[in-house]
Amino acid sequence: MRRHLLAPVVVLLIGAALAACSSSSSGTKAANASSTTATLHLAYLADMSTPDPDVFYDIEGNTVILSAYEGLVKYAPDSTTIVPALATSWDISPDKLTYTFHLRQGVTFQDGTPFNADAVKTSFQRRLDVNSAPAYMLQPVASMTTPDPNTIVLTLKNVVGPFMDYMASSWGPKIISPKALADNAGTDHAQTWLKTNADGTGPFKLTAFNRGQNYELTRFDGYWGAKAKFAKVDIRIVPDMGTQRLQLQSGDLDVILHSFPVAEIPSVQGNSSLAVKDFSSYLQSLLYLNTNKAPFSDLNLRKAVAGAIQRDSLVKEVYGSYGTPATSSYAPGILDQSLAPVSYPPSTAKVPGAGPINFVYTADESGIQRRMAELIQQRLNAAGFNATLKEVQNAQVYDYVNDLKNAPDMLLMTNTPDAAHPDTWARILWGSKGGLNFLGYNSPKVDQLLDQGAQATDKTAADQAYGQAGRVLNDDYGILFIANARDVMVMRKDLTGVQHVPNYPWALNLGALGR
Amino acid sequence: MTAVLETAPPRSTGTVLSVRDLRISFPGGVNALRGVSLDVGAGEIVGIVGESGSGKTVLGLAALGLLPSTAEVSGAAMLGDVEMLAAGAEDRRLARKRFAGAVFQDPMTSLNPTMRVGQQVAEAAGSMGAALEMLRRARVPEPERRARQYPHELSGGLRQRVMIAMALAGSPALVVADEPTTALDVTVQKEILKLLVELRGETGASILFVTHDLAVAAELADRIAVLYAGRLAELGPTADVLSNPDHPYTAGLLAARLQPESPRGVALPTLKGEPPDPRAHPPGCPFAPRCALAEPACDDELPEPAPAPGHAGSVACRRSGEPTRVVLDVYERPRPQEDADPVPALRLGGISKSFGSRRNSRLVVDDLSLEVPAAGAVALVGESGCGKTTTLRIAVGLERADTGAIDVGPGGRPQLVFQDAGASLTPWMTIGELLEERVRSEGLAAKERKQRAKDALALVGLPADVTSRRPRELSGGQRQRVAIARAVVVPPALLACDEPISALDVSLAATVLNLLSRLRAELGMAMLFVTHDLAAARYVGDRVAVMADGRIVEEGPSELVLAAPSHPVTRALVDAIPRLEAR
Amino acid sequence: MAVAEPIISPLVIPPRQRTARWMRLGRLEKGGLVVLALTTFVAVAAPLLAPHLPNVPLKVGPFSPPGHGAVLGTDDLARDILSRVLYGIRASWFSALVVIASGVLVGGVVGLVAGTAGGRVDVVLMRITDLFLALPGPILAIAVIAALGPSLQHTLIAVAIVWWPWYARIVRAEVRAQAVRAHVDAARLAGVRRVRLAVRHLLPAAIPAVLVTASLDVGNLVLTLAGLSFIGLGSPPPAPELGAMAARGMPYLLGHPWIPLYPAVAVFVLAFAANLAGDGVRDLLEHQ
Repeated sequence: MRRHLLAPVVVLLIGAALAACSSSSSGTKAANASSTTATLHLAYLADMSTPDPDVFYDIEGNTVILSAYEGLVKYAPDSTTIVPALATSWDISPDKLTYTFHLRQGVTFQDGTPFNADAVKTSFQRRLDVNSAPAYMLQPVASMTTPDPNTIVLTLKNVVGPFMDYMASSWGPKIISPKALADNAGTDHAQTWLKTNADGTGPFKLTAFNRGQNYELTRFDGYWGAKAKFAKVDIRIVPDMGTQRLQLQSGDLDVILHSFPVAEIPSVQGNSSLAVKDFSSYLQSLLYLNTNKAPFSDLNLRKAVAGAIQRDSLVKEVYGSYGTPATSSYAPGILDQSLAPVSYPPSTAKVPGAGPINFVYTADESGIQRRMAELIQQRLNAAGFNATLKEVQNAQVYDYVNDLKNAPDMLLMTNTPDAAHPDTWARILWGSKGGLNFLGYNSPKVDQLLDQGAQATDKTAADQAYGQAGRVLNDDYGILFIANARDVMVMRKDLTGVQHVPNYPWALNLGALGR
Repeated sequence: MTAVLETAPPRSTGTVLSVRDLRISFPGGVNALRGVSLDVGAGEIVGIVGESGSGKTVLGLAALGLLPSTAEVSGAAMLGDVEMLAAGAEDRRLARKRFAGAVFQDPMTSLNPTMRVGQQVAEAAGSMGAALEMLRRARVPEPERRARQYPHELSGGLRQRVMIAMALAGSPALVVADEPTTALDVTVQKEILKLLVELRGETGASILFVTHDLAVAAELADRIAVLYAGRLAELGPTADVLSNPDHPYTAGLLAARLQPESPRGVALPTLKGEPPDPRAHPPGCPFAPRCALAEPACDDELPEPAPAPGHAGSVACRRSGEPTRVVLDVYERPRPQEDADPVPALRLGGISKSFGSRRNSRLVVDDLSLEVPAAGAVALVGESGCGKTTTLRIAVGLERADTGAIDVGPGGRPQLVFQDAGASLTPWMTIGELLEERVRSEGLAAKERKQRAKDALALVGLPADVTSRRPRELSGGQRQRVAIARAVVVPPALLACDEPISALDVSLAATVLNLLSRLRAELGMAMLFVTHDLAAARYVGDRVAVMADGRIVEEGPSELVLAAPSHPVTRALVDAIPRLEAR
Repeated sequence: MAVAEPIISPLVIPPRQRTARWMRLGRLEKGGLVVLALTTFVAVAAPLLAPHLPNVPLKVGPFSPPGHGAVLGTDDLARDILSRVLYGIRASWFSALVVIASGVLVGGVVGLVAGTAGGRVDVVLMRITDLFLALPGPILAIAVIAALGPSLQHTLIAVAIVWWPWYARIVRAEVRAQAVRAHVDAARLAGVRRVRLAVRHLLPAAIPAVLVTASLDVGNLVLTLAGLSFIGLGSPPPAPELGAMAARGMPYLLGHPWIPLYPAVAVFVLAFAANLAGDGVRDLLEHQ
């Protein structure tokens, strides 16, 4: 028992030794490894929770879901524009309650089953039956009818402003082969089978799912659109960023999809076979303040925090050119920035009444969160606070709302909206029942404005309502918006067809990717 | 036989071991041997006699090429045709295989505890058949059965016979036997010595017999070499050396040895002082500080061995030409106080004691009764395992008897002098602390306690500054004195002694016996003296009780018991006493 | 032949010997002791030796490589790595000593009571000890910290809980071994009372073994605590702890290796020196 903990030190020293060696040898193997291989090599830092699209609600795993499955619509690259996927066109009734989707013809599932309206209905019904977290997107649906095999009509119980965005979200409804669902139904709507299998219409089949080791995607030659260029995609579980970097440099890995330490980017920029790409995303770095108890029940102290952290220089120091200070409580592209602007004039003054605070942050492999948190701690302490810093796991964060009096005073976290629509951000982040409203910000006014926005049939009126909800929060300093983060990927330079969607963080369109 | 000077060149034939000017020292400045020359002829038994620290064991090890690598060596030691000091480890091993065998004091540490003894002998003898033959020759009864046993299943005497069988297995020219009988009972010792002599006759092997006891060496040696402080004091035919010692040290050893005939009323002759510290030998004769014949010149020059005037050997003494006249510390033994209290100091009434679990118990003391009169002295004699030590421990209260009555007379708790005085002193405490601890119960002030401790030390002949020392800083004899001082710092009515001299050199043993006798008389203590040595028992005890198998088999006035032993056990003990007479 | 007066020849007590035990040590052990002495000095004098405060950013900015204004460079928060490593050594050092001291104290008392009393007391105490010995240290640490919150104190408590049984066993074994020796019988006969018997005549026998174990434990503890700190079970940030510094620096291993490397090297040197010194202490005591 006494020697177990030697391991990290040994790993570290070996890692250092490898690092020293690799700098000289990198690039040699890459040249011949990349030219002819028809396999794309990716890596995850950890297993995805599940490849079941009706259960999956994380970020790690987007690439698998979006490669194996398709929804009715999707976002165009680098855009919030909704474009056809399995639906070629759609009609929305003027009362915004009836959505008619005209389906693509000649599409087959990866098991050969033909795609049709019934398949859509079966999949949508399954999502409701499974009733996991992403089911909420279909819960407003009152009825589904299939007037003909190529048409599905959805009738909503009430106006849902972001409904089309739900359809386009990476966590939105995906169409699963009805045959696969029936064959493997079991007693849990095929959930067991879909934990390690996939059967959609996407450009890749999931041909192996070895938890903790690797996942294998194989090109689906019956894909209705442009066939994928890579014959196979191998996604390995490589839980250490240092290892991923060594593998990338040696050509064993084609892309580091996320969490590359920003501070380390200069060290790969000199490598001629690697490219650093950054994409716009809706990832926002957020500082939650617990308004439910002292000290941050005091608005003046919350305001003081906003000044004391000297946000703009903080963002510059941590993100460099890969993030910008947030200009609004909504990410750009989701809502006109001027509707809910934020600015936090920096202050170096001592804060009267500043005392001890409990400050937690969720860790990430890139070290960005930690560094940000430690800098905030440093600055707050300079302003007279006494911040105790603690790293927590994502799972812990969800419990705080159950016991707000004992919850931390401050939480640093980076989040992304479910879809490119202000409702999918504001409602979950600072709506009183929001799933990401971790420190229980509560304003009846905000809730009312959000409902007003969601049910508005007019986009301008809706945006005004969301903007006002943002301004209420901003005046309350309930959540401080720190940065709009870029989605940074480091990849082999010879990759072509790099397509990224802001709402699909940590993911590339593998169907378009080539070498 | 003409005088043979061992400085002559090695004899080409008939010499199995030839040692020349051997000097050995160890790290820390310990000079073990300081120029020793010695030959062992074919078929000869040479007894090496010396006190602890004299270098006798190192001499045996050097002959076998078994010195630790840290030893600094000069001179020569030819075993057969191999120079054991210069040869490499492998050559020395082969030489040992060809020429030598060894028997050490504790066979338990020399035998492999995980191997059957037959196999171990067979390894040396070559085959199991040869091994059985060797065991038979070593007079191991039922050799076939014994060969299948493990060392711990054998008695000490049998183990030593197995060792001897192993030592003789390769038909060696020389057997080095280092104190092979010291750990054995006197009766077993006698048998082993006899066996060695017989085997020498049968096999023609020479024996280098190392011992601290001149009398034991006298039992079997053809020649005796007396070592003192790393030097050869005297070397000569056994009978000559015993009857006509030319070195005052030899003469002193002979005089100091406790004999069954030693007069009881007189203190034992002793050599004054102690051997020199092996790290700081005097420049002149090392024995001079203790020698009654010493003249100033003795301190200046190291005497070299020269032909002895009195016998056919050699002696290293300036005064050896003069008639040997040994002056020893001798004084009249004080008489014990005669006003005997009618209440005995100790009365054991029918005590029994068994050890072990209920299912597998062994009766060690069996319905034993014994009385020690006030101010009287009783010696309890017996072989090891007879229950004498257990009886003693029950008497002083360290052990509880299963049944029977123990009455300790007035005068408080009996005190005990342990067999190993060194082990009975807590190593990390100073002598002062140990002594004062005993006085503590008297409720004295600190200053008074200190004075009592110093008084007790003075009583046993130790300077007061010993109080600040720890036991390991003292010599064995000094430790024994401290142990006695602690036992008498608060004079007990009964002083129990558990073989207090069995581990001591002759002169030291005599000193301790004298000290105990004097203290007994001065302090009016009764004494219960446990020993395996009838001579000591007779000397110390007014009465002697002989124990066997947990019972007292014979009891009576000490002179009488020795003069006319009635029980076979007593007779065997009397017969086994080594005598200072050449064979 | 006879002399009337009894003469006890006065004995000459040999002069005290102070053999230089130091001379008996191997070169490596000597080196270990020297490094250990140095480390202890560093631990004590860290605030004086450190060129900067451990938690204050330097003007040279973050990620500054060694040499330019900061001897061992700066970390991602522009703090001086040398200063943090020095303070980290201090924390590791004192933490290890605290755990060992508590282990020796608790284990010593339990072992002494068990070994001296024997019988049922011994059985009960030793079974309890075994129970604690069976606890998995790091998991217990995680549990304690989950219950009490992260702090060095709680980590030390958790580690101390699994550490003392080793000492209890050693002390008990040594005391049991002593209990049958003649000097204990002698002390009993001298009328020494139980407590004094235990403390003066039995306990000191365990000191060498305890010292050796303790000195070898220093290295173990430095590693264990660094490991716990590495996985986030140490002082909360920004406390300069070697394990945590290495862990937090991991993302920068390839581009700015000095950030995780120097703390890791410090752990390594500390543990290695402690182990060597432990061997040295053993060699010193073995010859007694």
